[in-house]
Amino acid sequence: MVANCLRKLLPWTVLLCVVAPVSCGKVDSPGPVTTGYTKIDDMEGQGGRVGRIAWAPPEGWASPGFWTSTTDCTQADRILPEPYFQPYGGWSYDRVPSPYQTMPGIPLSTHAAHLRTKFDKPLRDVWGANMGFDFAEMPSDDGGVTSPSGESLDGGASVDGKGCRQGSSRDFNGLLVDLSAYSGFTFWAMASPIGRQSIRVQINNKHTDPRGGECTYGAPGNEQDCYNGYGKALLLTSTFTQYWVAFSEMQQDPGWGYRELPVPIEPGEGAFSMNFEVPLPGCVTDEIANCAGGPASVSFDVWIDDLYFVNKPVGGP
Amino acid sequence: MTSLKIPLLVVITTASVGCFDVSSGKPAPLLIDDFDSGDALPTDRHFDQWRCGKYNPDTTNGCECNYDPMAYHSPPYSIHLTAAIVETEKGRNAGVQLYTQAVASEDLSHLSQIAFSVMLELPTRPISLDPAVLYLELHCSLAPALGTAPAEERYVHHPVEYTNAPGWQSFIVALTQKNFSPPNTWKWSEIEGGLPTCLERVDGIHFSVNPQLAVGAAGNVDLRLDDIYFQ
Repeated sequence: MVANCLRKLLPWTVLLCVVAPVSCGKVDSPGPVTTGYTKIDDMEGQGGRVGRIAWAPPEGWASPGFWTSTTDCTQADRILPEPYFQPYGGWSYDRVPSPYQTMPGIPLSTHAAHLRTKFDKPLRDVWGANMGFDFAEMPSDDGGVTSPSGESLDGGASVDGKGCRQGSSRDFNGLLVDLSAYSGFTFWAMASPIGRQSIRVQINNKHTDPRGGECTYGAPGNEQDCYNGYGKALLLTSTFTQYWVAFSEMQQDPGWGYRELPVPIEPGEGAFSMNFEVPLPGCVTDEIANCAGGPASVSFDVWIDDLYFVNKPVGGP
Repeated sequence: MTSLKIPLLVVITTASVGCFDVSSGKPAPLLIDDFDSGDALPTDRHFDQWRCGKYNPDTTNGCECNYDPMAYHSPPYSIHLTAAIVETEKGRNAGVQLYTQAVASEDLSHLSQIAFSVMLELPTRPISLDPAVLYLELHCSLAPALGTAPAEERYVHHPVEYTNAPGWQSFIVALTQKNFSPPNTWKWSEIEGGLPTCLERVDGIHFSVNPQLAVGAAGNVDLRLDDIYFQ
């Protein structure tokens, strides 16, 4: 209902912004605004910060986080963009098939985040893949990277005998950021009907990110119960569609990992990161069930675009 | 093994005239899976690849499931589970289940019936069909429970009136409180609001078989499913 109200109010808000931009805040610039939404990223990559999100953390000394993709390192050469821990990995936005309107009154969207499997290289027998970002990065003081350079990874990642280097959030110097000014977020997304169309959008905080120390039980390299983020599953369509997610509906997957009782995320506790995951069928990782017909090979082609926080009403709870 | 080969659609059409009448304003039937798509995913993309396993104890040993072209209910495929069951302790109730979990929970509260076809072969003829040998379970792991039931225990189930007759049997079950109850009598697993609450966020459809073997008995369970619809 809140989302519907905001949707109805939006055209009036935009009109007011056009008439009185100074008092209204600029939707097309990073940083907090008071018009209902705060841009996290429009994926257009302006200002020479390709891959960095637009949202500026409130802590002035921290820098915006940047996009990365990841999957199991044994199949990291099967997705695009290739993960940062691959020899030639790195992030890039992609041109959308056809420019289209997202928020009323802003320029047409021409680029988006685009996670996909390569042609004839589906994923199989792994948990899936995701693309996402830390909300903010601290200056490097422990050897960790503060940009997606692919250099000087701080060795925080675990090496688990797979014969390849697995990425980890501990490769980066993310910090917890307070999201209590927001009630949720909205974005546009689509997925090719030829591949998997289900995603899980999730946020990791001190309970679920290994940097928080809880899900590792104090042993930094012990990440097997980590990354069960607070999330919501969505079934995308084959055209760009706007989705709304309230923090109050984001819960952990009850089936695995380090978790508390099923409670929604508490944005005031802070958050490290956000990602959009394409999970493979759960039977692949289910230890007490077999997949009918065997584990499926899964292709996907998922687009995420124009991501905004939904601001809490001024004076609201 | 005989198949009645009566397409479910015919059964539905004769049993409930007007069910598919678009002009009536009733919701269209929702096909969960007819297993004929050729891929491993249910037709309703809210649900994930079918899986199977044994319970009491939980294991995959001796349990397989696949798409079966040999014993179809309506061509070309059904899904087939086969499992070797051993009852080791009195009261343990070893069983098997064939199920699909949702990739994104689905609101089915606007629908009034579920229809499906089953062919079941048990190691021995159950002494009694009460309690039932086959249960349909609708899971809703994120629904509020009256107690602290873990997510996997948050469901309602329906005892399917399966008879020992050979061949395919088709069922249409009304989605009513009377037909669906908590899995046991303890309040801690009961969902607040019961079936209506669960239907608003269904994230699993399970078919569970408890062959009611005597202690020390063993044998194979064969379960085939086809044409699972909500309407």
